[in-house]
Amino acid sequence: MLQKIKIISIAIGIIFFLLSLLSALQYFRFQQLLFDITKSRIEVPADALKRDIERSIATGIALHTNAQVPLMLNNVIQNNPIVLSIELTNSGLREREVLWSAGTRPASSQRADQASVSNRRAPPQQSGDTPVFVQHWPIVDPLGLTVAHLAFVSDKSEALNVASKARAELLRLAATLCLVSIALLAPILFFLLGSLDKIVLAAKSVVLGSASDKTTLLNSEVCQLAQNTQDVKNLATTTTRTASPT
Amino acid sequence: MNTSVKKSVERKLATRTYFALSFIGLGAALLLTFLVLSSFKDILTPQVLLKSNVIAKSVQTTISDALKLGIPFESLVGVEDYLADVLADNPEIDFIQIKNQQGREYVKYRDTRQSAQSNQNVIKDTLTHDSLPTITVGLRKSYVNEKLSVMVGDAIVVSLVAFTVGLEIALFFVVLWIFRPLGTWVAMIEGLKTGRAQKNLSATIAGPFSELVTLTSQYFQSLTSSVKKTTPLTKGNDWYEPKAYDLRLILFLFVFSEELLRSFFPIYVKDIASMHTLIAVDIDIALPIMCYMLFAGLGTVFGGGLVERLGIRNSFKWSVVLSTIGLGGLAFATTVAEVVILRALCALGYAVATVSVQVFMTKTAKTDAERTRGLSTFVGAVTAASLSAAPIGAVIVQLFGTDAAMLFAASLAVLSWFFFNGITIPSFENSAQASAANASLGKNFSAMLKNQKISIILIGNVLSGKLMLAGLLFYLTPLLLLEFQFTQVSIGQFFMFYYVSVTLGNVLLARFVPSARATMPVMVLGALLSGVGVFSLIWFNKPEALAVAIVCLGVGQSAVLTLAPALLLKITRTDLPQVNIAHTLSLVRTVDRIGGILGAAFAAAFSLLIDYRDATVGLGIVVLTLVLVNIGLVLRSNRVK
Repeated sequence: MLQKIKIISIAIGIIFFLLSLLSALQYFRFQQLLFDITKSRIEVPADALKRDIERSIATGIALHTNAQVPLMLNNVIQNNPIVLSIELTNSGLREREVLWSAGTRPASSQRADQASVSNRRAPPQQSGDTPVFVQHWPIVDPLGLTVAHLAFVSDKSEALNVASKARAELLRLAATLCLVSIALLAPILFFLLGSLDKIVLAAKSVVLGSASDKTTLLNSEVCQLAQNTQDVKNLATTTTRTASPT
Repeated sequence: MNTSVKKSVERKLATRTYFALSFIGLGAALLLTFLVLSSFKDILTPQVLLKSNVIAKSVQTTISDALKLGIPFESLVGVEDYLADVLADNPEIDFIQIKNQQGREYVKYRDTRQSAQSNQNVIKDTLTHDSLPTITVGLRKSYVNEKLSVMVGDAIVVSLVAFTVGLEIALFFVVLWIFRPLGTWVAMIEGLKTGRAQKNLSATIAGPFSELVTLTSQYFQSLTSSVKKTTPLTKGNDWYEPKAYDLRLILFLFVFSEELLRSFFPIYVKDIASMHTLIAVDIDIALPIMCYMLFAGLGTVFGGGLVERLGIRNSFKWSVVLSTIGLGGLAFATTVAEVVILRALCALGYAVATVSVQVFMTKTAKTDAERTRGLSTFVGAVTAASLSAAPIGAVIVQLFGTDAAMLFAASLAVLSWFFFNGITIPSFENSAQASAANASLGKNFSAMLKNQKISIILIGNVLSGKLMLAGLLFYLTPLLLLEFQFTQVSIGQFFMFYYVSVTLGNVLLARFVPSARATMPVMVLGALLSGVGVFSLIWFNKPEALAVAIVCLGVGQSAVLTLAPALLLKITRTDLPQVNIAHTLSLVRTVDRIGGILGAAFAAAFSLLIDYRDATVGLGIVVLTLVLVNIGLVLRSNRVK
């Protein structure tokens, strides 16, 4: 019985591993897709703003003297509540100089900017931190030179809420399927492994010299091994009898 | 009484258990994917609708800006072009309609032919305003499905990975509960038959058949106490004789710990090199790979002697120590120099560990059939570990970061020692022979390299293939995929293109073994295919093109890795009969490692001068140039004819 439980638990462990790995990968794929869609929402006003700024540069107005820019930035923030801040920074300098900005840039956006590509340590979320997306666009002059950078910082919390909702749903589905699989697999394996008990019992009776079912004996490799043991045992007993004085 | 059983109840039971597990496991995976996709679709569709609303707002603002200039709605110039641009930028939109209060409208469909029937397949989102034109955006219902369809591929990949790992775990328990007790039992019966000395019964005998083994052992004890023993009783002897499959899980765990790094290692080094550059970032990425190949090559060549001197157990123990220090140390490394040193330790550990496992498998084999089985166990465990480690490593990195993944890899190496410790090790019998063989290694290497055919096969096929493998797969692939905005998890899965191609190629080659005449052309074709795939990147700068290159490399390498050693062994047998098989294979491995060093070096040099995509193409040109050396082989064979 204990042996059967052990074998069944290994099978259940494999199913659990399969479903856990599948759930983890499905979740990451979904999260990436969700973040891409959320970020693409920002791309629409960002592209329009970039076009407007580049058009103003093309007309000959210097970027740092263009008083229209802050109005344009504020307008985008008002129309898109997901956008937390927009910064227009000077290109070319080692220390980037902010030419124009709108909204308040959360501290967490600085960390997001500095995050390493290799993800050495999973970044700990600080309490009170606003999770953000930071996206950059280059501002190009009519000659094709990058003259500035447009940085959009947008709220990630809505996307994270949706992701956590999806994670809960995924966990529920995976747990249900895991339980269903166990409910199906355990009785099937229990039934199948029933024949293992029969084999062991038959082989045991053969080793002990009792009579055993001939069909089982012919169809089982273990029973044949037991028969071999019995044959050798008989041979040894005969040798002992012959050797001992009667 | 020893009747052969064609389909015994035990075999039937094993088959049924395997099918029940596979059917329910794969069924659950497929059902989970199906349910998750429909649930995710419901969650994602409102998010895409939010974007279409933003697009509608943007279109409304643009049109209202134009109207503010005093241009009448019907005379707006360039609206069609503007709407075409918006549709081109946003693939989820099927059509955009702008309608003013007087009922005049501009409409642009993605596909004009489908405009009539598209109404059923779109979700309409209308933005109204008191004074501004009404904007209606049609969202394609199929868009979310298209995006989610990738997850079906994920399900296949994960099922494959989980089943590979699951199979290894299952095999471990099969060995522990079935093979080991049965092997012990058979040995005891043989002992009874031949009247051999009584041996000990291992305490680790477990499983359903342990009862039978104990019973036979008890009988044996009663017999030996009543019968005069024919041979003296020796202590410390186990009835169970070690077999190659005893090391399967150990080898799997050890190789898994090393392969776990495959998908993220260049990205991890790039991160360190960007902060503390040693030479140049691109060169710094290549340094640990080159160093790894160099030390792995040295470890492979001299590993045999080391194992002979230290013994299998000690060699494996020290390999685990080196690998654990190397892998664990990587979690704390902050400079490129540290990474290079730690990778050298990992390489030495890996090389000596694999050599000790190979020696174990050779020692435990008594017949040719057992030797072949041992070799297939080795290849099977290494393939399974390579296939499943990269995607699992990527998931760990995504969840906990690379440092945690390194520590996990180190703990796996320690775990492999934990399992190794319980294995009985066969003793060395022919160490004197091995010493003599090692002494003639250099002489044999030089004799083989002087042979033109051998040199051509080594340079044109073995070296070129490994050069591509190290340069493309180990160096450039993670960096290129990062440029394509792939996540760590997706990069990990991408590596399966190679391992699945190699596995399938090997299966096909095993099924349809090429004739003696076809062996060389198939090998050269394999070498050519290894290099030619990257040229797809010239025309398509897409991940799909990289996938094609990797699949070509995998298929090509399956041909080269199988046929090149076979051809070399054939040539040495006829041209250089004094050279033994071990030295021929040792030369193949050495050239293979040199190819690895060159691959990383070329990839680094190209990446320094040009971008990663062009570097990949450059690598292909180098490989094809090397493959051209094979012309010499063809010319020689024609001359012989």
